[in-house]
Amino acid sequence: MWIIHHLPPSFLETIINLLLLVGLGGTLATVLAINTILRFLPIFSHYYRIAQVIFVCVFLLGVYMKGAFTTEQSWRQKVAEVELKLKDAEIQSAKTNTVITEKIITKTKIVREQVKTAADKIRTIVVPHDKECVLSPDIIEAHDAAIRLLSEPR
Amino acid sequence: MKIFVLLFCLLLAACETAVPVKQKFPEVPASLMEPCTNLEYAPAGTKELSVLLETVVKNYGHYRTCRSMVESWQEWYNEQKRISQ
Repeated sequence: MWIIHHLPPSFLETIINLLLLVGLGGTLATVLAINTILRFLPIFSHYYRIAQVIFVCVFLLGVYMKGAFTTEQSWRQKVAEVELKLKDAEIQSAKTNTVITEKIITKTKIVREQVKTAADKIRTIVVPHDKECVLSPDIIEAHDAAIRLLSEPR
Repeated sequence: MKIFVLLFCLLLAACETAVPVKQKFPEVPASLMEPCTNLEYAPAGTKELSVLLETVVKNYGHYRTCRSMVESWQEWYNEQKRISQ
């Protein structure tokens, strides 16, 4: 209820309980103890019917507001629990991101080192044989054509 | 009359129950959003086997880096799914 959103819960609870008490008390008094009341307050005899209706309405309003307030409070609690869970999830997500970023940096570094090691090995082992094994331009073109084919967007 | 209008508004107010709680889609790490490096061509006019092999090894390296990014994406997705459940 939009009214409940803008008022402090403790204040609302007090008002609602007051409404219930006054409504219930008034209803019981005007229904069950009307003779006793009229004995002490005879002037009330002209108005007790109206008072009964008012007290019943106040009581019903109190019951309605109590139900609405209780429902609102239970929903607020559920929302608070879910928000807490979401906050935990966000923290865990951020931690996961940090871990994965570090893993990528490490893996990239390892790959670079391995490529460097392989390139060094090629220079050591293959370079001395370059003069014996001269590649024709067709071989280079076949290699580059494969790269072109594999690099084409699909 | 004013009291009835007020009472009517009070009764209608019970219809509203709106407390949206949304889960934000987690942000992916910036390193996972980088595109894979393009494969390299052999240097123009190359005749040496060692130069060609070096190019091939570099391309293997690019593939390995790209593969580790794909694996990281899968890991990120599985982890976020587990967290959100």
